[in-house]
Parts: sequence; C-alpha cells; structure tokens
Amino acid sequence: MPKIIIKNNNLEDQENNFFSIKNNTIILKKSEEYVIEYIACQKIELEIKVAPKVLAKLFIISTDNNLEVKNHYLLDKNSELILFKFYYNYSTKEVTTVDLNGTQAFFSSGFSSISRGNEEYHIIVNHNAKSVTSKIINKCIGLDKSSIILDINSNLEKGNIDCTMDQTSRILTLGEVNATIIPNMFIDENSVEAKHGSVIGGFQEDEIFYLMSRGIPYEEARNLLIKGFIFSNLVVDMEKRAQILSIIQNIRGE
Amino acid sequence: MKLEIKDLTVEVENKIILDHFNLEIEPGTIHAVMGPNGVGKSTLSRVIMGDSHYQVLKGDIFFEDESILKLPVDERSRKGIFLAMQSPMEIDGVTNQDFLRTAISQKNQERVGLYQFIQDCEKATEELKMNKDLIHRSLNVGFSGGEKKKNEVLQIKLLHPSLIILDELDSGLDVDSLRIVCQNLQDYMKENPDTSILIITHYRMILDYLKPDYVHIIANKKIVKTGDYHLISDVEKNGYSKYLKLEEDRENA
Ligand SMILES: Nc1ncnc2c1ncn2[C@@H]1O[C@H](COP(=O)(O)OP(=O)(O)OP(=O)(O)O)[C@@H](O)[C@H]1O
Ligand SMILES: [Mg+2]
Repeated sequence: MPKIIIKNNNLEDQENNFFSIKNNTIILKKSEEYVIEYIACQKIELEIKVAPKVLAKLFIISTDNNLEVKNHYLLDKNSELILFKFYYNYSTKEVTTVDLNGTQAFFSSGFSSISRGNEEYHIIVNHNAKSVTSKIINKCIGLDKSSIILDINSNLEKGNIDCTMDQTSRILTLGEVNATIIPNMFIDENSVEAKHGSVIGGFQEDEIFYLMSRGIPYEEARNLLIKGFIFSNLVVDMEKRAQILSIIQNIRGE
Repeated sequence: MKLEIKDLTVEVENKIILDHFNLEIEPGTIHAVMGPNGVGKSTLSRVIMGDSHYQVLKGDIFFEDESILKLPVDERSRKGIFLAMQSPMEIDGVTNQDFLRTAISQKNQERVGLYQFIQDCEKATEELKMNKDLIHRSLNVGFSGGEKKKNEVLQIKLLHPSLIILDELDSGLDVDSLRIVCQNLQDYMKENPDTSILIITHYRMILDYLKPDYVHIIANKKIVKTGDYHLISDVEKNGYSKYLKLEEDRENA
C-alpha cells in the first residue's frame, strides 16, 4: 500500500511505479490503495490527479493538527477516486475542489471527523463532462463547545448530460455545538440525477433505549453509536481501524 | 422469574394509559395479553423495561420481590428482563456482531472471547434457520420484518433472560418462521423452567404454539378479564366490544 507522509508541511518530490510528486502535485498512476498522512502540519496545498482509466482508493488521515488545507482533485476520463478521510484535529479550515474533467469520471468521498475546536469545510465539485458521478458523505461529530461548518457546492453546466450527484451530511452533536450545513446544487441541465440530505442533532433516544435494554450501560451504548457513526462512512483496514478506535475510546463529551 | 405489577398508573404525554393496573406472573408461567389497538399493551412492556418516556405516577413493579422502578434500563436487562420489541431499532454503523458481543459481555460481566462468541452465534442462528450474514450487517438495517424478529429471538438465546416479554413477535413472521421461532422458545423454556413469558399478540397462532397458562384482556387502562386458553376463541369470535362496553357500564354506574 503506497504511503505518502507529509511532515511539517513538507512534501518532497519523488517518483516511483505508483505515483509521482512534483511541486506538490501528486499523480496517482496505478489502481491502488494509497494513504496520505499529515503529521505536524499547519498548511497543506496539494493537487491530486488521477490518471485516465486508473481506479484509485485514497485514505487521508490527520490528527492533532491545527490545519489549513487547500486540495484540488482532478479526474480524467474513466478514472475513479474513492476517497476516505478521517480528521481529529484541534482546528481545521479546508477547501476541497474537485474537477471531474473526463466522461465517466467517478468521485466518491466518505469523510468522518471528530471536532474539538473550529472546523470549516468548503467543498466544490465541478461536473465538467458528461456522465460523471460524485458522491459525497460527511459525518462529523461535534464535541462540546466546538463549531462545524459544512458548505458543499455541486456545479453542473448545461450540456453535461447524464451526471449523478449525491451529497449527504450529518453532524452528531455531543453537547453545545454550533453546527451549520449549507448544501448547494447549481444545476443548469435537466438530464441529471441529484440527491442531497442533511441532518444535525444528538443521539436518538430510541437507539440508546434499545441498546440499554440489552444490558449495555449508557456510556458503552454511546461509544457503540459513536463508533458506528464514524465507521459507517469509512472502509479501512485493521491497522487504521485500530488507530481510529483508540481516538474514539478516549473522547468524552456531553 | 416472578414479576408483580401493583396498582400501577402510567402516563405518557399527559395522558393516562394504564390506571390501577395489576398483574402477577409466577416463575415458569406463560401469560398472554390481548386487547384492541392503542389500549396500552406496548406501554406496559416498555414501562417494565424502564423506558423514560412513560411516567409511573403510582404503584410499583417488583421483579424477584424487589422494586425495579428506580433501576435504569440496562440494569433491569442484566437482572434478566428481556423485551422483544414490536419494531426493533435499526442502528446504522453498529454491526450486529459488535452489538451482541458487547451485550453478552455486559451480562456476563466479562469480555466474551471471539471464538466462543462465534460458536454460540453459529449454533443459535442455525437453530433459528437464520441467515448467518445478518451477524455481520448493521444492526437491523435493511433486515426484512421477519429477520428483525428472528434477530430479537437470537438475542434471547444468547443473553439468557428469565422474564421474556414478546411484543407482537408474530407480526412480520411467516408461518414457517413463526413455528421455528416458537419451537426455539419452547426448547428454551424446557432448559430454563423458571423462565416466565409475557406474550402480547393480536392472533391465536403464536398462542397455539406457546400455550399460555393465562390469557388477559386489557381494555380501558386495565385488565378486565383473565381466563385460560379458551378466552382466545371467545375473542376471536366476538371481538373486544363486549369488554369495552362492560367497562363503560361499570364506569357509568
Ligand atoms: N411515546 C409516546 N408518545 C405519545 N403517545 C404515546 C407514546 N407511546 C404510546 N402512546 C399512546 O399511548 C396509547 C397506547 O399505546 P400502545 O403503543 O401502548 O398501544 P398498544 O396496545 O400496544 O397498541 P397496538 O396493538 O396498536 O400495538 C396510544 O394512544 C398511543 O398513541
Ligand atoms: Mg403495541
């Protein structure tokens, strides 16, 4: 599994069979599962390109950073990027731009996060060709006194027929959380399949009751639900699962 | 195990649902509760389990001669009370396996080993003729109506309760599944003869299999008639209007 580590905001140029990096531009050349980890970073600016016909999976993880990100994803004809992302930062401000430039390009993103401070996400997805697909699911947990803004924009101009877009966001509030979801779809084409949904709120009492009625104490029930919330949106291997689990086990809120 | 409900008055959303309600269940007995829609049968089951939506204004509930009203839901469960719900919750992201293993570990007060867990699960799912894949899926999410109900009975088999409340277990189960599920419950009763069952139902078939010792009819916030098995035929033939009217007359008098 090719792994790219960005430490202290620094990404060195390199070239191998799987990817090439030059001036902060990463080209994913092979259909593979890639990992990018931000360690001790404050400012990240990347261009991530998926070569034509490549089906790439990418997992991005960032913990304990005060992070500002500006990432730009570019997908060519028949290329596919399945992105999973997990953040547990002190604060985050992120702008993600996705350009689906070639027909049949496919982009899906499962983002799970746990927020302690101020988090602000702006996501812009441009459907620039025919028959492209974007599927974006955000699941953020806001701990007490945190603030989360999710601003999602899907753009589609006339002529790019048969596109599919889906944006779903859910913020689970644990305590006093300032949560905002702004879902936007700017669509100027009739031949499209578009879906969106957003939910903000705490645990469902009925879910807690069901779990407790099976002998599971409140704290444990809550942990199960948090775990479920985060992992229902991530497909990760055992090692990363363990890493994320150790973070979940340590959070307390409400 | 023994359950005693004494003079219980229950309110939800400022509306009295059960009033001066009494019921006694001896160890090893099977009781059936029937009654028209909205009369408070599920309320009864949830108040025994400790759902905080339902306020107890008066009276008490004793389980093994000990009041349980002050106990939280999870503690009532670990004491041996199990409620198979009319509509089991779907919980996305929490796998059935993770849920079951957590529940068993809590009940036994020690973490159940993975190997032991898998073995117990396989045996139980086989006996229930249940699709094994359901163990790995999110809890009840996308389960068919019948699969959800079988999953409730799977939990009974793994958690070993001593008072089982079945709230319309039969709704959603096809005839073959109902027979299999009831066979499992009968076997469970044979292995655990002190276990008591409270069956809430609208239909005779589940009662034909499980053969209750007592049949109660709820109307107008309390039990208005208790009989044996034969009461079912009467209800089937004549409906509930007689019991509702009886109560009206009594109140008017
Ligand atoms: N959480 C709740 N909030 C408001 N009203 C409730 C709640 N739970 C029950 N009720 C009301 O209490 C009454 C009894 O409901 P309950 O579910 O106990 O009936 P039931 O006898 O189980 O009916 P059914 O045979 O249709 O399942 C109904 O009028 C119902 O609308
Ligand atoms: Mg009911």
